[in-house]
Amino acid sequence: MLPRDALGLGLRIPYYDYVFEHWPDVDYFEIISENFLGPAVPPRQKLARIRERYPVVLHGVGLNLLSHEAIDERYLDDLCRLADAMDAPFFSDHLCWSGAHGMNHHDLLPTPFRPELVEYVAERIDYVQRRVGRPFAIENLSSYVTFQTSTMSEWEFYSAVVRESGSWYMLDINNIYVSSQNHGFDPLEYLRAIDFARVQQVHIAGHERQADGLIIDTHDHPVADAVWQLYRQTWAMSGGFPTLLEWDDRIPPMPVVLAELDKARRVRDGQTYE
Amino acid sequence: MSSDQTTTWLSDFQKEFTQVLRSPLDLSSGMMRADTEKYPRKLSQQIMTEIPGAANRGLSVYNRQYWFRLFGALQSEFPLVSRLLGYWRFNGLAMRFLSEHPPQDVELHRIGRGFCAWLAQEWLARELPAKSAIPKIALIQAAHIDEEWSRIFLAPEQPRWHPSPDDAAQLLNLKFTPTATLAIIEQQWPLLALRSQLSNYPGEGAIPLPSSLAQLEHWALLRTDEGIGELLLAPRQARLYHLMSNHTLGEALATLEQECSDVPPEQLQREIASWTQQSVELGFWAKANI
Repeated sequence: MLPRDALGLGLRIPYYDYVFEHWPDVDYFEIISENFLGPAVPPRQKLARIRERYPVVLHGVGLNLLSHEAIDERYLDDLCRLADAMDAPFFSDHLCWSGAHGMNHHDLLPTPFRPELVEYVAERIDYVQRRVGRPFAIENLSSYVTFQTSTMSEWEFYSAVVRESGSWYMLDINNIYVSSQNHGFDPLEYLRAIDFARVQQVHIAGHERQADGLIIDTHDHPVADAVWQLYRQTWAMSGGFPTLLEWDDRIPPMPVVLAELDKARRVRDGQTYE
Repeated sequence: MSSDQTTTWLSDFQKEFTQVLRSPLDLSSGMMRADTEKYPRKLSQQIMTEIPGAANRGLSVYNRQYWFRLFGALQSEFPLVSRLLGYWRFNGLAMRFLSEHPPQDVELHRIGRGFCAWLAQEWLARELPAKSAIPKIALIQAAHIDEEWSRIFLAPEQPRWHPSPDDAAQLLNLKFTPTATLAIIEQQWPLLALRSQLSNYPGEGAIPLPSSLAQLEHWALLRTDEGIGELLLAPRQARLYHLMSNHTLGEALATLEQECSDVPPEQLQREIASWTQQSVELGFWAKANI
């Protein structure tokens, strides 16, 4: 387990040089699992150096939990190997589908929220968690559509899946905010449905508001003020949780990213972060 | 709903959503616009919205996101050819290639498998505009360099072959297998140098092709612990390594001697001995078998 006040960063290629020179004060790193599943040696060598100094958790985008297709066993084999090599305290992936009909779409895609899907996906999550043998945390999506065929709210669906599967929350505060704005719900109502004792980690990230008001989850900006505010409220509602900052595009120099991460410490201490 | 019914329902839903994602973007306006008219009506009607037209707006985010993520991945795999063409033209090609070859692998960097051959056979052979400033062969060489660079970077580690006393006794009968971390490429333009300088060209537009070299160059690219090393090869040296990769050493030497009848035999033998030794010392070969 990571300490409940741990602050981590999503490890990205542009950080390597800075990390190897400065070994910054970060409690842990999170890697995108798929970047290290293949046989390529250079990424693994770099990751091994990081692991010597920091805990590493795994964050996947490819388990395809809500797909009509069977779970990819070869992928799971590779994931088990990686989780063991990192001795990861937990691993995570998304409550979504990412491929269908033999294709991999490389995106995190929504479904309607329905009770029969809770049962379907909970069974698959339980299987994956047992297979990997480590706590499996499930991340909520940001989304740009909702479906008339949904019979539950997103938070009811998400919480039911975590409960039924015996898995954990990988709660993305930015995603809750983005979807609340795009679909017109109260993010606090979402948060009140969360069992914070089962939150393994919280993600924060930046987003972009389009001219027509739609918000896109771009991970290419600093965290928005409204998301920091929601983060502060989430922290107050919980008993603490490890917090991880994701910055995936237009990545600034690492000191800028570290300064952004440090805002989380100040926000939860009730200080201003400006 | 039974488990089978749920799977069938998901399959149908995901088939329609996939149609949205893979709807080609419309290039006719000079922008990459989502063509929402092509979306399955049944899926659009399922989207909740209070604003007319907003259903397809949400779906178009996924449609554009799908293509732009793939464009970005293919640009990363083919940095040289994408910059020589400029991103606009490259993305148009990428969309055609990926429409015909949907990504299937969970590893995003594998979406470019077959792209180099597709460029060479399906596109460059037919459709390069006559007025294009870039010779077809330059683009093919650039795509090949990008492809090989990526291949050796991602290759698994392999043991390096070193001759045992038994091998030394039967050297001429051995057939060599190149290590997966080795590529031998050729260039008529200084493409490798250009590739290493791409960060000097900000933006997305096409960058100029440098002047042609005086003669065709052959280079060995070899991944080491320090990165990917580049070694300029003499033309006969490159030919030797090609022959060694496909024949026994004895057959390779005989063929090379036949092809190089204008070179004094003593000189050729010296060269062959030196180049063979160099290739072993640098670790070009994963194994050698009879």
